[in-house]
Amino acid sequence: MTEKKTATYVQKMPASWWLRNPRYLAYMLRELSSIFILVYILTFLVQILLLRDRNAYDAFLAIVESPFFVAFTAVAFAFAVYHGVTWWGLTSKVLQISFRGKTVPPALVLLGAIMMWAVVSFLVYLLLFRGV
Amino acid sequence: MVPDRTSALFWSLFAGGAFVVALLLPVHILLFHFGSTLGILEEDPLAYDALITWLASPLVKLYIIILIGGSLFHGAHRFKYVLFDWGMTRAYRSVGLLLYAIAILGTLAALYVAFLGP
Repeated sequence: MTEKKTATYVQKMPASWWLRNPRYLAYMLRELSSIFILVYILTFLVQILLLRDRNAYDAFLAIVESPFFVAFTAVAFAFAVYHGVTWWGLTSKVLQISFRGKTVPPALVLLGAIMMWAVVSFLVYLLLFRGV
Repeated sequence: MVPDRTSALFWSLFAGGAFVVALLLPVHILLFHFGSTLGILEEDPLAYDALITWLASPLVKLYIIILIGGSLFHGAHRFKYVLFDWGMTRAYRSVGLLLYAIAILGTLAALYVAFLGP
C-alpha cells in the first residue's frame, strides 16, 4: 500500500456512475453546464479585449458568428437556462420566507423567483440594450 | 482545528456567481447572439462600433464586471467538482487551483476593460 492516507474516505466509483439513473444524469447535466458557461464567458472576455485592434476583432467576430460557434452558443444558452431553473428551484427550497408567522410554500417562492428573473431580463434589455 | 476559510470564500463566490449566471447569462446570450436574428434588436450588438458604444456606459461597465467575474468563479468551482465526480479524486485539487487562477485573472481583465478601456 503506497496510497497516501487522507482524512476522508473516498469511495471508488466508475467514472460513468451518473449514467445509471435519470436523477444522476440530471445532476451531471447541471454540473456540466459549468464547462459551457466557462467557455462562453472566456470567449466573450477575449472578444471585448480584442476591441483594441479592429482587424483582430473582426477576424474573431467572423469565428463567433460562424455556424459552428452559433450552434455552441445555442447549447450554452440552453445550459444557462437549465442552470437558472435548477438554481431558482433549489434557492426556493433553501430560503425560508415567513409571512404572518407562516412559511411561504417553496412553489410560491419559486414562482416569485421566476417572475423576478423575467423582470430582470427585461430590465437588462431596456437599460443596457435600449439605453432607456 | 483551523477553519478552512479559503474553501468558504471560494464557495461563497461560487454561490454568488451561480445567482449572477442564473439571472443574467440567459438574457445576455439571447440578446447578443440571437437578438438581431430574432428581430428584438435592430442591429448586431457584436458589430465593432456597436460594442464600443455599448461598453462606454457606466451601467454596462458594472454589468460586465459582475457577469464575467460571477460566471468565472461559478464555473471554475463547479467544474472542479465535475472532475471529482468523474473519479479524479486527487487531480481535481490542482486543476481547481488552475481554474481559480483563471477566474481571478479573468475578473482582473474584466475590471481592466471596464476602467481602462479595451
